Amino acid sequence: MGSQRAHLWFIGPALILMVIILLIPIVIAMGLSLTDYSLGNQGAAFVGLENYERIFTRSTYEKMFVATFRYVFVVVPLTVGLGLGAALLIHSLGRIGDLYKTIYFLPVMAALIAMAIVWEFAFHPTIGVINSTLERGCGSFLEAWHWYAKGCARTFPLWLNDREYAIWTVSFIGVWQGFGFNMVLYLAGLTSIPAQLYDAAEMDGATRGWDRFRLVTWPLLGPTTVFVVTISFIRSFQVFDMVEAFYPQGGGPSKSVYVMMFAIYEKGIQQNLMGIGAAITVVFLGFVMVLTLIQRRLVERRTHYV
Amino acid sequence: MPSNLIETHLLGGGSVANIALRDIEKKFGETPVLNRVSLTIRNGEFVTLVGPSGCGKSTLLRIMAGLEAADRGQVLIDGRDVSDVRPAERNLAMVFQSYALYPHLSVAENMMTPLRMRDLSSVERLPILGPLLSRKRHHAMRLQADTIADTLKISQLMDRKPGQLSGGQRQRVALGRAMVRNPVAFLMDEPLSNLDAALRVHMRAELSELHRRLKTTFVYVTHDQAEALTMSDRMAVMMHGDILQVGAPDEIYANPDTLEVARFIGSPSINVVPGEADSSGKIDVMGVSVPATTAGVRQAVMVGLRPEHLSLHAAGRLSGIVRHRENLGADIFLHLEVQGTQNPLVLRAAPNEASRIGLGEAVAFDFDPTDMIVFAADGTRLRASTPAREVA
Amino acid sequence: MSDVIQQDTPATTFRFNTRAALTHAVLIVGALIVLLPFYTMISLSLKAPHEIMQQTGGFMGSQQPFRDDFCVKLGNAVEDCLVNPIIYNYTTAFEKAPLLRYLLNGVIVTVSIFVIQVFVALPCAYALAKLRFWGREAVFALVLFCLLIPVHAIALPLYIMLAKLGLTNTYAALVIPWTISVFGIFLMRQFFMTVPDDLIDAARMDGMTEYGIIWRVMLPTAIPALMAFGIFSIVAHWNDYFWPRIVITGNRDLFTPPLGLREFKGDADGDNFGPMMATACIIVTPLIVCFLLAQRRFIEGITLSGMK
Repeated sequence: MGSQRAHLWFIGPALILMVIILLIPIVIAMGLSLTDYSLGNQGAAFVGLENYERIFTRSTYEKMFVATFRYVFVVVPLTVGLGLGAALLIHSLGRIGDLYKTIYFLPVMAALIAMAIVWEFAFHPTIGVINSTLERGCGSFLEAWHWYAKGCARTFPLWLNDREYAIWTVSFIGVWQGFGFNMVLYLAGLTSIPAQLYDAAEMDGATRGWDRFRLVTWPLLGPTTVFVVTISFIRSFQVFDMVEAFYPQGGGPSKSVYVMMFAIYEKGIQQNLMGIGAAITVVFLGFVMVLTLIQRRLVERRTHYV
Repeated sequence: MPSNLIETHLLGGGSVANIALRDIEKKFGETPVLNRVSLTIRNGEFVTLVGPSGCGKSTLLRIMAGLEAADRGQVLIDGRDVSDVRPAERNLAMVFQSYALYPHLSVAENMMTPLRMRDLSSVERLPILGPLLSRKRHHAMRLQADTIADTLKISQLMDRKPGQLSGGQRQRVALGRAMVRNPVAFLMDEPLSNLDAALRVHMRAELSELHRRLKTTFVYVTHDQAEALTMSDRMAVMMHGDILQVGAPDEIYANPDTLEVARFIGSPSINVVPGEADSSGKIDVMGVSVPATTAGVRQAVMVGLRPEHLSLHAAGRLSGIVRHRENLGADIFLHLEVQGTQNPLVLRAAPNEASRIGLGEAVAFDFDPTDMIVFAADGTRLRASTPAREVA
Repeated sequence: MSDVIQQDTPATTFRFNTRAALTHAVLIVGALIVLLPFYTMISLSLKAPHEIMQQTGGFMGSQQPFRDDFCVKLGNAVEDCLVNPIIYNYTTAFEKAPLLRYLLNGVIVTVSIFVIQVFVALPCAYALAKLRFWGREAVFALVLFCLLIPVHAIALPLYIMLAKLGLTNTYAALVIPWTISVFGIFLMRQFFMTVPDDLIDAARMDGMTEYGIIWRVMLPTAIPALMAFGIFSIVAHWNDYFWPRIVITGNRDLFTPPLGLREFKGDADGDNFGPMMATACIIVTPLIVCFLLAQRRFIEGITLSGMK
């Protein structure tokens, strides 16, 4: 029967592509990370773990880790928290909430590079709307706040070009772009919570909103939360668009925004140092895979059958 | 349509009404769901709200519990108006159709939740800190839960999660969670509907046994009239948002107030045939004239006869052709096509009588006129005591 | 019988209203922050340069014709160089760089990617869901493993491979790495598993080939999932900046919309904010419009990707 072999044709292309596009590159990256290869060279010299040593000792790479982790550990909690908060608020409104849902989801749909450029304009020290709005508050009671007064006296911060503020501003834009996605996931999770559980909670005496949240909502959002957190982690690790658009060279004021993906791009593509680029890639992949595996394990444990 | 303001009074005794509903009205949007419903439930009795889907029984129960608010009317518990009081403070417990157990908590924790909510403050309820702050009370609660688990025979399940339990076990945990609060009454919303048939019959007996033991009021909602008949002290038959009749199961079975009640209660359904009553108190039905016990007014009537009221009789005045046979082992139900009636009549026969009767055969049968349950054309019951009414 | 008429508890109704009001207040503040850049983007794309610099003109800008200095420099008379802001911004957007071409590239790339993804993923999903063969478990395990690998993460080795093959600066380079969508395989497999086996057996009895079964029996049942997957794919690849940036190094003709915008910014001196914002509008609008028209599907798609 011809159909005995049919499956080979079906899985063939997928298998081949998986191997070529996903698996082999990992092997190549691992191999390259042990060399000093540059594109265009004939061969490459084996340098052992030298690249990794550099990554874990040199200050540039220390800044890379700091920038990346700062970004990730600001963006993930905020996008998850805001996503959950927005979902809870919108869910309580019923049909009217749909309008807010649409609005909050728009940033997810819009190309980040485009919106980042707009934000850059908004954060512009002189012609940007943020600072000009802040300036309008000068001379009012807001000056009681020391930071505000300082801004009025001199200038308000150069949000994207100030070493102190750059990474947080970029994080803010990341949160702006990402929380709508998590909100949608949480909304789906909320609608799947059986209403009778809330009735039971009411009968048991969980009268206040906080009690109901702790007894029913949060536990039953367990799997959703695990998924949301993992997705947020992976997405935020991959931040690149904004950094390259704002700081085409160098990764921000004194490398305060020198995130891993940008480092890979800079070292590997711009500077053609494939060896170290590959090493960063391997470390990056390690992070991502470990995170996803943790998620899988957690979901298995936390999925409760109602 | 029968009057909506039916309220049963206590027969003898002098115990205080445990739960009273007065003139409850409820609409969902424009659709009326409850039309001025009143009901009094005596302390310690097992009352069933029974009716087809959509009759409003679950809504009434939820209003009793406080999960819904009535548009109008009052709910009183032990004489106190609790219409404004939150569910938890009414000291009622509810068992849901889907059990509504907290899936992330163990059986023991599920059962302790009402106690924790009631007796511990927010701080004491925090996950790790809580138990440390109030060890003694925690122990006491666990003890209470254990005692109840014992009576329900689920002690061995205390550390399992609901997802690991069978339907019957979950049901018992739901009961346990309700019992642990020592409520004034148990409200049950079709708790047996999700169980398979055999388990359902078994649980009916267990619930009745539990009721006898606890001596607490049970308010039970079901669409299954068999459950209502077997378990209740009193039952309230509801349809379209009205309570049509309240009374003991025997009473409702033998003495229904309306045609709808008669049709709903009893399986197989009561046979209803049209008849003609004349002024002398005789009724013409199926071509036979029988004396009746109703007042003598000339009118068209509906005559109800339950399957067990019809019997095979060699010299019977009526005859029919067997169109269908149901052999239930202990009983045989024959569906007879009888001249002058639209629907087949169902007759209950004993196995030794009917085992030889096959399809298509003609049989003779008869009935005792005193078994007739007679209704006016509009469905109201005609009794000897029913005053004479002129029919246009 | 008491005649007391009881209303809905005043306390609860009152509580309800303040709570709803507060909820709306918070959500509205959030909405303002969320919409700020969109407002800015649209507004600036409608304004003249001096209005942008001085932040005047309200939302629409006063729409006074202004003097295009560049055109004067080219030697034209001043009267010929008075242009209406909106027209100026949007025409410059299309003229300064071949924006239409970029948009076309975007369409070509996203559609190609999706179509190839479907042709690769669907048969594989069918085989994993409905056919029994030696190694099925292993293949599925491989799929699960590959789900862990974000393609952006392995951009570097992929780039090297493509460079070695001389494929940089081609449509192929833009499309190839995305042709395998393990997520798509996973999603479709979940759906296919819900199709009753009887349906497939009946088709086999009717003489349908296995290949035919995929497209005539399985595909119709999975349309919702497929649409969701399509939306997910198209959005992701229309907005993708990282991969095209790496792989298109010289040939402007192959720029995708995000690259086009970036290039605009790179060239831009201070005066070109208007056209730059206009470009941003043009790039962002197609997906937003589609989203607004088919919201339910979009959100279904995102949700489906989560429900595993």
